[in-house]
Amino acid sequence: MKRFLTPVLLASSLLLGACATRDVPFQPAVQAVADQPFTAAGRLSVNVDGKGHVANFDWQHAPERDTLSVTTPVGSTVARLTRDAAGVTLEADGKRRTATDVEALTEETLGWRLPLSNLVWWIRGQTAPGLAVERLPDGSVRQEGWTIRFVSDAEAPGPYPRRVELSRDRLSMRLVVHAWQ
Amino acid sequence: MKKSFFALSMLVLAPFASAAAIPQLKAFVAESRTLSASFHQTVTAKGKRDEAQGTLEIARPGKFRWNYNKPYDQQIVGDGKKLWIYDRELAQVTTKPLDAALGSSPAALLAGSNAIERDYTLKEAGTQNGLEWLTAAPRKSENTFESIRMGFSGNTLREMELADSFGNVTRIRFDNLKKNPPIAASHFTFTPPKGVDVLSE
Repeated sequence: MKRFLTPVLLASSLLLGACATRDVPFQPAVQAVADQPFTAAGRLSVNVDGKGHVANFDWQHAPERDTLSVTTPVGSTVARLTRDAAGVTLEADGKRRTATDVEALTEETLGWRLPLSNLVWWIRGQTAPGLAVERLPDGSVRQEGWTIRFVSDAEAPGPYPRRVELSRDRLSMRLVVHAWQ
Repeated sequence: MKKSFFALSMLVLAPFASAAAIPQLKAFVAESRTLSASFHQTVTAKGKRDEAQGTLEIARPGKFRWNYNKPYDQQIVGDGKKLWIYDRELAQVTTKPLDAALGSSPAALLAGSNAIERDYTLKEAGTQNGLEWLTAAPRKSENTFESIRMGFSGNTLREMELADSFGNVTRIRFDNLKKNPPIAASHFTFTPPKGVDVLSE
């Protein structure tokens, strides 16, 4: 393991020097076994064939309930997604839509599927439990057709990745969390 | 004598006592072709509080730069035609027509010469914390802010309060506000950095 890691670290530090980037691959300390509640405030971008958005988000997660608000930089709510035992609700443009799961609801309303149940893990730098994992040479992982890259800030490493990048087909998403609670 | 002194003092004091918010807004807009300030933003909602700070620059009509520098680096630039949002850590730029930008930043609202009076119904809202307040309700219902409050003193905007229909309240405090500072034209243009995706909405 150590023999394998050394050239990888060496390569990434060379890369770091070359590009003057502060990005390094994130490695979770341990794989979490049980889901824990969290609150994360950050920014996200969505890119579908070169069209997309940059927005702020606020996500309150608990195993039985999620509230994900997407806001403008100044804090005005653009959309709010809630999930609980009764199902999933999306409020946006003065309308309220419900469905049984987030993936189906976002596919119907946004035209792309937000992988919320997996993102619960990915945003914390963990692979989603119970799903096949393919580990790629560059440190990213593949699950359910998504390629996920976990990025840490070399100058401020923390228990969670600073940025998570997801891509699948013509869709890519990035999430940066600036405040965990 | 006593009576006339009272009358005189009322006459003298009246202009100050009636320095209500709407005339202060009008004077503020009329007196400043350019503006610069720092700002501190607090967004509160049920169970959360998110703070950010940055700087504001405006050149009327229609040009602005609203930069967040803490706790993240994000630039929002209105170049007169387009709105640009660049988030350094996301390494993404989005651009959209400026007329769709009002909800994105109070700077867009403040940069218009008469956008506030044209698009909002203004009402006096009294004195609070030493400031004179007005409320601005959008004439057309839109998917951004349900209500806006602006607090003035000395013909200068000191605070703004924005509420959306989901219960989020944003408070913005302006500090070091300068009227008519020289601002380089380059501050109101945006060139996407190399290696950054540019998305359109």
